[in-house]
Amino acid sequence: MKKGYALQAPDGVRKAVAGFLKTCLDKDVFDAVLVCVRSGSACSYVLVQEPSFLDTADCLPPVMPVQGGKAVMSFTRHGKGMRIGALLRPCEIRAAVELSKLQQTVPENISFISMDCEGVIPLSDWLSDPEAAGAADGSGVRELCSICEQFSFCEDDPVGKADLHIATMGVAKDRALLVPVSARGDEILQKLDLTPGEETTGWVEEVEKLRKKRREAREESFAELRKRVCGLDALSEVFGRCLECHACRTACPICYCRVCFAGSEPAGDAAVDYVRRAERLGGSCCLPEQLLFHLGRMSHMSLSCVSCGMCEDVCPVDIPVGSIFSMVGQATQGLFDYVPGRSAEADLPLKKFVLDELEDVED
Amino acid sequence: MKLLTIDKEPNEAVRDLLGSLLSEGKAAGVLCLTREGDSGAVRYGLITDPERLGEAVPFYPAMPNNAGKLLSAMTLRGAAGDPIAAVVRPCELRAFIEVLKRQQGDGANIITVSSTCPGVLPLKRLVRGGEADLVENYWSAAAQVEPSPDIRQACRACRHFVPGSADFVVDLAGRADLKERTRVFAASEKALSLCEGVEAESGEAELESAEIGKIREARSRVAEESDAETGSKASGLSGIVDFFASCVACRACRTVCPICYCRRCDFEAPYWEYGPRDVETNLRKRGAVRVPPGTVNFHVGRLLHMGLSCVGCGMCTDVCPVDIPVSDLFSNTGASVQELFGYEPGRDAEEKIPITTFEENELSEVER
Repeated sequence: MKKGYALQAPDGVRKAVAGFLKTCLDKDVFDAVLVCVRSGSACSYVLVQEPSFLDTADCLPPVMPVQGGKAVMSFTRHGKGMRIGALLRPCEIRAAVELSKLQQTVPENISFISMDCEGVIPLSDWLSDPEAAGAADGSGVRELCSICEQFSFCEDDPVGKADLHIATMGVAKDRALLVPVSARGDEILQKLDLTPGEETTGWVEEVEKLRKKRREAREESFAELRKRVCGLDALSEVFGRCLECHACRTACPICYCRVCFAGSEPAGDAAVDYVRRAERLGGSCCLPEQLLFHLGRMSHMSLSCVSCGMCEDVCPVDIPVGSIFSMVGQATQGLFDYVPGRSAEADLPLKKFVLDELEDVED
Repeated sequence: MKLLTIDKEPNEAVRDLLGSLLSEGKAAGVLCLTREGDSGAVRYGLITDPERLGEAVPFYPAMPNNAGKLLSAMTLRGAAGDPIAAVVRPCELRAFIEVLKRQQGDGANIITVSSTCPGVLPLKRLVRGGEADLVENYWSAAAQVEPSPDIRQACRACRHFVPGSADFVVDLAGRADLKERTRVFAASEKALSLCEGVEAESGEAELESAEIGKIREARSRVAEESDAETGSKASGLSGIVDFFASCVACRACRTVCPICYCRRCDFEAPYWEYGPRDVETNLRKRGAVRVPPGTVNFHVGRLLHMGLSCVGCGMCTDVCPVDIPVSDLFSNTGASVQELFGYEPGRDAEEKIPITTFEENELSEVER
C-alpha cells in the first residue's frame, strides 16, 4: 500500500493546500497551477502563475461553478503549453481524460492533483447563503455527489488518472496526506524534497467504508428514479417543463461540440409540420425536439458521462437531468465494462471494433 | 376601437375566442400556454382540436419561452399555410417583429392575440413551490397600479406593456373586475372580421386609458430606480467584471433570448479560445487568469450584437443558474442605445434596425 507525505494543516486543509501549490510555484515544479477560488459569492477556476496570489486566495470552496475538465479544455484545446499543476475533483479529472480521448484537450504538461471529494453544494443553495450553505455532515451536496463512489481512489488500479492525491478522509484534522499515484507524482514529491512516510491504512479503510455506503445509496436512488422515468410517457412528463435552454449541454464537460445537432439547420420543422403533428392528437407541445434533445444528447455522451451533476445544477427548472443521465450512463458504460476517465489508454467503446460483442442483443 | 366584453374571466374568455376561431375554420391551430391537468408543466402548445382547449391557460403568469422565438422557429422555413392564432405578450410580439426584420420567420397568416400585460412570475419561483399562492397573489396585484413585487424585474420596469400591432388586445393590466369580466379589443381590420362568432357585448372604447397611463408612470419610476442602481453597480470595467463574476458560461441567457438567433454564435468560434501562447501572454501580464476565459467578452459582445433590439422580456435573468440580473443591464443599456436613434424595437415592422441604415449626418455629438 502506498505511503503518503503528511502535509501539516494547522489552519485547515484548504489553506495548507494553497500553501502547497505556492511552494510548487516557488520551487519551479510547475509554471502555473489551476485551482478553484472564491471571491465573495463568486467562485471560479483560476490559472495562477504569480505565487503571491495564493497568499490571500480563498481556495477550494465547496462548489463547482464550472466543471474542471471543461476549464482544462479551455486552455489546452489548441495544444500543450506550460507545465500546469491542476487541483481538481476526481470527476473533473476523469472528464479531462475523456476529453483527451476526444481530442479536445492535450494533457501532456498537466499534472493532475486529485483530492478526497466530500461533494459540492448546489449553486442555488450556495447563492442563497454562501456562509450557511451545506450541512456540516455533508448532506447538503448535489444529489449525484451523495451517491458517488468515485470520490477518492485507493486501489492499485486508480479510478482516474491522478498524479498526486490529497487524502483527508480518515486522516487527522490537522493534516492531509499527499499520496503519489503515478511516476510523475513521485517526481513532484522528490523535487520538493518530501518523502512519503506515513501509513495510509486509516485512509483506505475510511474510503472503503464510505464507498460501500454510497454504493447502497446509489442503488436505492436509481431504483426510485427508474420508476419515475420508465416509459415514454413518464419520461415526457419529467422533461415536460424543459425550456430547451441547453444550459445542461453547455455546462457538460463532455459536450464539446461548437455546433450541436440540436438547433442545427437540418433539425427544424416547417409550420405545416407543427400543425400536422398537432392534428394527430388535437394538440401538441411547441417544442418538438424537447425530448429528442435529451435522448440525442444522452446517446452522444452517455458512454463518457462522469456523473458530475453540472447539468442538474444549472437547470433553471430543476429537472433531475444529472441523475437520469448518470443512471443511463451506468448502464451503457456497464455494457462495455468501461469506466470513463479511468485510463487514458482505454479506448472509447464506440471507437473500438470488437467482432464478438453484445451477443445478447443479437437476434 | 371595437371592444368586446365577455362575462368570464380572461382564460375562459380567450378560450371561447380561440374556440370560435377553430370551430369556424378561421384558424387551423391556436398557439398559447397549455397545461395538462392541475400539475402538468405549463408550456406553449399548438391546439388544433377545440375539444382540447380545456388545456389552454393563455394568461397563466409565466413565460417558459419567449413566444416570439417560437413563432420565428415555426415560420423560419416559410409562412404558415393556414392561419394560426397566437396568444403572445407584448414583448413576445415585439421580439417576433424584430427577428422578422432579420429574415427569421414570416408573420403572414398569424393572428395575434395580445394583452395589456401585468407581467409574469419568475420560473424558478414557480418551480420551487408555493405556486398556488403566487398565482393567486399575481391576479390581485394585476389590478393594482404599482407593479407586483413578485413578477420579473423586467416586467416591473416595463413601459411597453400595451401592444402596438396585435389583432386582438385583452385588457388585463389594472382591471379590478377580471374574475367576472374580460374586455377584448379588436384592434385590426382582420380582428373585426374574426370576432363575429364570439358571444360578447359589443361596444367602442379607447385602449389607452387613464389607468394605463398611471401604470406606465409607476413602471417608469421602477425603471428609473433600477437603471440608476444597475448603472452604478456595473459602472466601468471593474463594475462589469463584478456584475458577471458568478457567471458560469452556461449560455442559457443567449439560448432563450428571442433576438439571439445565430446558429453559430461568434463567441463559440475557435479564434476566441486560448492557445498556449495566449495562456503564456496573459499569465505573464496578469499573474493569474480566470478560466474558461471570455466571460465579460461574451456578455458585452452579445449586448453589442442584440442590444438595439432588446425588448426587455427578462428571459435571460429568469434562466440564469446563478441569478445574475442580466436583463437589468441588457434592457437598460439597450434602451439607452435605442434612444440615441429614436428607435423602439418591435414598434413597427417597417422601421429599420438602426445599424442597417446609413445617415450621413448623425451622432455628431460623438464626433471630434
